[in-house]
Amino acid sequence: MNISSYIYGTSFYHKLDVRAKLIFTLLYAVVTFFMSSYTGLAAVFFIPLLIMLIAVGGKETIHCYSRLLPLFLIMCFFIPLQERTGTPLWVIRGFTVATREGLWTVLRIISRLGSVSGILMLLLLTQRNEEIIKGLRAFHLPYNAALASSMILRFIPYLGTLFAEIRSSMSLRLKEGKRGYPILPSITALIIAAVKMVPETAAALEERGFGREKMKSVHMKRPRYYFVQCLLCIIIPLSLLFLR
Amino acid sequence: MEKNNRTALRISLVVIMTAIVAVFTYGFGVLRLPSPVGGYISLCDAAVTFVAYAFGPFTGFIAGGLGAAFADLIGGFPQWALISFIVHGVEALLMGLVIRKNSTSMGLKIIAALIAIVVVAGGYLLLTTLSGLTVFQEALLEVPGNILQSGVGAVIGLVLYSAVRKGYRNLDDIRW
Repeated sequence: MNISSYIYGTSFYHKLDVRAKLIFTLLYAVVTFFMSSYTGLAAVFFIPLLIMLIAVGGKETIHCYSRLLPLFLIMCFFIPLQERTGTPLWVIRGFTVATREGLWTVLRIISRLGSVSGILMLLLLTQRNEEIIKGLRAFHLPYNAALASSMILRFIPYLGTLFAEIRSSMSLRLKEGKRGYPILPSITALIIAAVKMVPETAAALEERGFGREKMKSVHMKRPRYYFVQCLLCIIIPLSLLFLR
Repeated sequence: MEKNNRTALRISLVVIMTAIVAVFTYGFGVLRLPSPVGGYISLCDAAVTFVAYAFGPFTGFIAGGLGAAFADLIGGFPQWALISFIVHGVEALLMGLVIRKNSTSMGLKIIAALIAIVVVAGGYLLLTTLSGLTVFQEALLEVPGNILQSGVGAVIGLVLYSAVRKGYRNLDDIRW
């Protein structure tokens, strides 16, 4: 069972150092909230979309953005009808359907949601989870937090597989002709199995020397042009503020 | 050395309970229903309630918050991860403070379930609007689903606690 969103690729965004990428993601998400012009909104929305198209292709990009589509549609339907004060744009028999202010609110929210989701998905699609944790360690994420994060990412698919097995065995116990599986006994069995793992996991951690010595900070090799990459990842999102 | 043993046990407990909350939230295609307004309804709150009740408010806060956030990250909804962390973390913290270990008071359980409903429905409504990622009207559409999810989840979580305790008697030994 695979929970990683990572898609192998050789694009420039894949090759970017994870630390530079983390800086870019954070700054970009923050800058998104400062946009107050149509050009700015369009820029912050389309930049992650374009990078995603180049990095992982059209199919994955459509897959990512299709999750947001219902939200966008609801916003398009509801917000203009709610916000009807201001300059009318579309009037039917004296009824103001949409105003300039309503349209602005819709576009602003869609742009924010699309760009924040896009830039975060882009990070997850182009970087392995363990590399992201390593990058966060380089930014002084405590050792125990990094250890816990990597263990969580290991346990989620394991417990998912275990649940599938429990579900299958529970469904075999049903009377002939009946379909499905009993939910409560299945999730109870899953939790009992998980709780039983706690002392075993703690013992395994101790066996591996957990807490015996102070852990060294992570040393990540710096790729070529590391500082240029970091600099660009700071300058590009900040330069978007000129469009705001 | 004793301190290390406790730390290893605490980390293991938090890790495994976080993974449980994430599995219940992510659902692996069977424990969650797509919501008509874009998100999804899952058994997340059942796991959050169970963890808060079985292991106390602080384990509940970390495991509940992190589990929901991890599920959002791996499930393709990274924009809600921070909000889910706060909402489900606070939900577990408050529930854990209200329903203490082995509490049999039905009144307290009802209060805890009401807290879950208020925190989840109100928290998502407030934080999604304040974060600027949606507008109040759109966030309002999510409220009925969130009330249903947290209410049903709280009841299932309490039932789960009794069932798990019957199946695993040493449950209280690993609480901290």
